[in-house]
Amino acid sequence: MNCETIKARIESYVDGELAPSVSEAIEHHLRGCAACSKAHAAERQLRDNLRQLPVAGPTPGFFDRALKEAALHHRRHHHWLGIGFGGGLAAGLALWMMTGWFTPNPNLSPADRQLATVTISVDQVRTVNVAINARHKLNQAQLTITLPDGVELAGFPGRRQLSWHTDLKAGKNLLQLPVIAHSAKGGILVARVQHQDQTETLEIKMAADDGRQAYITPRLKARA
Amino acid sequence: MLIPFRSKQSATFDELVRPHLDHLYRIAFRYTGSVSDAEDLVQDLLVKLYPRVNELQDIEQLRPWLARVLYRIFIDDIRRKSRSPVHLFSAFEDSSANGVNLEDVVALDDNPEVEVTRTRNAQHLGRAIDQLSEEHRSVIMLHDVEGFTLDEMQTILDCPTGTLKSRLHRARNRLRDLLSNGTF
Repeated sequence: MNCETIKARIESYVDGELAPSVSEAIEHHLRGCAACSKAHAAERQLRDNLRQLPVAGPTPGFFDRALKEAALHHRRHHHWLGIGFGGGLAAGLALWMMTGWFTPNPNLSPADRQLATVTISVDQVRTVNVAINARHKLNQAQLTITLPDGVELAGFPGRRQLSWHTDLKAGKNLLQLPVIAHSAKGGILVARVQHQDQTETLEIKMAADDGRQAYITPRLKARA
Repeated sequence: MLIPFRSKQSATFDELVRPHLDHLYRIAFRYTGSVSDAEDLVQDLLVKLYPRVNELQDIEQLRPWLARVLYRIFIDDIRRKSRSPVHLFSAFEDSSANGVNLEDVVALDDNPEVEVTRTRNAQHLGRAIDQLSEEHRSVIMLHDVEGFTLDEMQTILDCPTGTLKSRLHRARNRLRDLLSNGTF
């Protein structure tokens, strides 16, 4: 065996992957070749150093906590699913809307009152508050706002949809939407919250202002 | 009736996974270089696998299978975080914040000079490993540091052994270059 052959096989030799006869031949060469012997020693030293790289241990009790948390997470997730499937405001994740000018509209029929409706003025920003109530903390929930034609969020001209990730705290989370209409056309604004495979959607009918105060009656769609 | 089922699931999951946790944590630390990140990675793995306890019971070689899922979670995490210009992990990044001072690493030799040399070598090696690509770092960590065989790595990385062997060879060459050039 020449030095080039040894060089090509030194890693496999150190890894113990070669046939015994080949290993013996390499050992024989190393005994008589200072250069290859030095290369072999360097390879061995590198492997030893790698094997001895330290590991900082976990914090005390981590494994117990981690196993417990996995079980708790599973129970919370299924509990939330179970309640959410029932729908409506009893859901672990429920959307409803509140504003400072919550006033029932006496001119709507009972059927119309079933829709979530907000009346806003053309070319005038109104803040629509969406309260998101989470039964427990939800990390990286995705919020998506889809706007009807002619309606925008102030500061986002031309955008029909905005989507972002955020952490929701347990309890009430307030989302304030600065809504502005550029036409009297109106339409449906959809606010959607997604977390893992759970989705809650709130549909809000946007109507042009006719001088009366806005009213809100939420209609919730809970999808499992 | 739901509660007894959950207790049994919890006990079964514990029995299946606990023997591998120390090993999984070590790999997670090798990938992330940080105690908190390693714990997060292991925690994510357990949360992901808990609902699949029945499937886990049917797996013959659980150790490499668990390592494979851990690796996938780690890579998914990197891809998600790669949108932000943040240096993601290091073999010895911010070690003091994690409570690891390399000077405190336990040495087998009582000779303080040997201990200092070993510590310096470890730092030097750690910084070189940081400079490797994720692909090279993974094979070095799994094979040369943690002692996985190529067959086990085939399961973990979902890659043929021939490809892994070539990758390992290139990774070692790169590591030697970095160590000899000292460009870090």
